[in-house]
Amino acid sequence: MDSVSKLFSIMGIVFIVILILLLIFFILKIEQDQVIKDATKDFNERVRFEGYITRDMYENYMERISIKPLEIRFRHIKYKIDSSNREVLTIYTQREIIDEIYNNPNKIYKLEKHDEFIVQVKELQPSIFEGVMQILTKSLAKPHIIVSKGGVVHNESYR
Amino acid sequence: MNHIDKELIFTAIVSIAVITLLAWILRYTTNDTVDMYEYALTQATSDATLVVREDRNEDGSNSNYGGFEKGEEKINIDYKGALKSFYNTIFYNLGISTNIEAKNAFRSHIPIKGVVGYDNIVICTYNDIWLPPESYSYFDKDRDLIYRFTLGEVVYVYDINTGTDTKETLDSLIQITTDMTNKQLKNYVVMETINKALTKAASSELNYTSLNLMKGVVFNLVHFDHEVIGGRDIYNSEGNIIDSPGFFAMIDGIAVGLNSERIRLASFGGAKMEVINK
Repeated sequence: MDSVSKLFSIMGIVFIVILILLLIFFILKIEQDQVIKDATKDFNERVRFEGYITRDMYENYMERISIKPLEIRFRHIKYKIDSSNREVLTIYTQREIIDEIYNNPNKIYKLEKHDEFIVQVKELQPSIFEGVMQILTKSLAKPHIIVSKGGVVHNESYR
Repeated sequence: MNHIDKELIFTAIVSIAVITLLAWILRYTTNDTVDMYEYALTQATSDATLVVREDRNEDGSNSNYGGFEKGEEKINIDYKGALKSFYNTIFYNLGISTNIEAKNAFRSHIPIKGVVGYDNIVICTYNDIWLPPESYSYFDKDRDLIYRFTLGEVVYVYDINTGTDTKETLDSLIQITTDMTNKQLKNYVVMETINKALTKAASSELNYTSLNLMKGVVFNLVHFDHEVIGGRDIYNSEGNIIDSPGFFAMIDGIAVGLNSERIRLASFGGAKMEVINK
């Protein structure tokens, strides 16, 4: 009887330790994600309200989010009216943007008013907490997307 | 104190700590989700407002529901472009821009959106049907005149007896009512028109979502972020002044948190609006 109760209390302690560890990892993940969310929001807003990306802006953003392996995707969308008055869309990818920032003599990537600029950050290695987060928050976001920020470019302050 | 008592106390303390932490996480994640919706909505109305305020003189094809005047120039509002911009931004910020199913599901949670224009308000229903515009009109029964106010100084005066329409300014007109200045009357009429149009749309059978509860809702602008759309003053709750066109929208009925609390958020031109249910 005594050994049974001992077994139960050991199991209880193990269970509690696991639970506490899970909670700590959970909180760490939330904290890390928050840093990435804030940095992405700041970067996206700055690009949209200034209308350009410089090497400094880009590197500063990369530095802020370099806390875990991530997949970052930039999209710069332009809408143009073609000769038959139809709206056509062009997408500039991250590679083109970075190429312009690093290889162009001006070291600046310019966007135009009414273009769209989107930044999406995904987790490279999905954590086991992702599923739990989805259930708790009833989030609409796809699994592993930490943050997605985007919208219309409001200014061209490089002019 | 024997061994079992100690174990019990230890277990109780740890359980309380774990429950507190769980509660904190739940609250944090729920708030985070509400913040995400709020941010997406304010960014989307800000972006759509940029389109609304853009001069589209050369291309009137998208302006089927009236326009507004800026100085002497007739300017058309690009309703289609504003709506497209609104949806694009809200979907980008919710991370569902490539998920058609999620986008369609979310649309039904945006039962009301529209444009407060220079001389009228136009509402767009949950299924993206633009309702006819409602002018900011006031009928002067003593003089048989209909005043059509604008967000600026201009007033259009229609004489019922002669059938003539003249363009005046608030200052050039005689005082229309005895108990209010012309500017106060204009603000009152603009706000009443907006409130009535919103209430009508909210209680319309076109809105089959949870908006049935919304009869008598009050939309209250409580914050205006100057940095977001560039330095124009808009007041509502106290000052009742809205002096430039903007796009507004509300999110309704999204369930968040463990107890599935339904949230209702509203925004005008990049500013957060308080929604009060009467």
